[in-house]
Amino acid sequence: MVYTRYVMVYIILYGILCTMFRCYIPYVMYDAIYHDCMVYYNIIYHCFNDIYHNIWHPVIHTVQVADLESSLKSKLRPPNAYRRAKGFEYLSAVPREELHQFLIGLEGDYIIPSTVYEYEKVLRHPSLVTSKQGAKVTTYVISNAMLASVWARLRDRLASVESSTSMVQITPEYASHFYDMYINKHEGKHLTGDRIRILLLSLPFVLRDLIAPEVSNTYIMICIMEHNMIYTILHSVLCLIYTILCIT
Amino acid sequence: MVCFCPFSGENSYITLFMSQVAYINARIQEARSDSPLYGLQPVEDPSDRLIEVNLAALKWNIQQRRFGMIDEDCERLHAMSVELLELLKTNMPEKTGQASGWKIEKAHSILHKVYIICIYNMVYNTRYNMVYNTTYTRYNIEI
Repeated sequence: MVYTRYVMVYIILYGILCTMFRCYIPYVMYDAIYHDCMVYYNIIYHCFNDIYHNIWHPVIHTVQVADLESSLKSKLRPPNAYRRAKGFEYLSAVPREELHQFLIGLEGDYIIPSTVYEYEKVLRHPSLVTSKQGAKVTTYVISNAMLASVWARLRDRLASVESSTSMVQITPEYASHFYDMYINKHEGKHLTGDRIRILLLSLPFVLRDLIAPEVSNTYIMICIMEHNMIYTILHSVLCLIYTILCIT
Repeated sequence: MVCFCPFSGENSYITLFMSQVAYINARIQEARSDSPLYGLQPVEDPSDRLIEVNLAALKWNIQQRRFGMIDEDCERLHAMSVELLELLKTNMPEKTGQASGWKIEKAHSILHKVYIICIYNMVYNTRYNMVYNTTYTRYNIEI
């Protein structure tokens, strides 16, 4: 598509005029140019608008304030005394926002890795080895497979959190991401603040009986078996009594 | 040839139903005098103290995000900040393997949260997306 020089100059002038007057001028020559020219017009308009707001306006404002200060012989904008204090650092004095202070800063970077570390410290303590001193290969009491099963259990518990029961939904992909980031310590994996908040809400409630069952599966299984056996025995005895009564 | 015994060894059926802590303690208890595990103290499950820290962090986050905090709320928040920092030091003393690992700026910055709330009124005024929202809104209005 070829545009004539006249059209391009018109577009540039149009952008400048719109920027200066900060409004849209009616399209007096709309029929004379191509419709696609409006795309270029928008780009130029926004470029000039950006230049106006970021460069031109502050310069004008500064000049005007400087003129007024010189005429009034007093500072309209006195310097901030805090910035001249000894040892003052501007960046360290600005307020901490929630994301980098707590969610990613403290919870994501330190508390969750420390939680994982505490479990590893218990399960893989240097004294809990079965190999003799000086052995070439160190054999731990908790093997790699057993340690992996702990983290797989934690991952599966996270993946089982659903909105209908917990009001928080955690997908299997999120749980896998957690596994890669905190267990495998993948450096390329990160979590946003909102996702750390989901972890903050759910993690305290999935750590219970992770490595020491509060109510073990075997206990539940035995209870069910006992319940079935007692029920069967009672049912048989009652049937027998009923039969005897019927006969007599 | 791999021999699989269902009643002994770390891959047996019994260990599948046994927790890791119980398994370690059982191995320590049955260790003979020539074993490296002989005489070791039984291990304890750290879940309680870790859950305590994580719950304290959750409560602190909920408290510092409250709308319209008054003096009592700020005092409570500061007490919770101190408590959280102390819990981090006592329940996770090594952080991730470092001695005195909680002597870091980010951990202690939670103690300044009340000061920031007093100056900027509430946490949302210092949130990252607040800046973008106001800038974008102002930009649209000026156009």
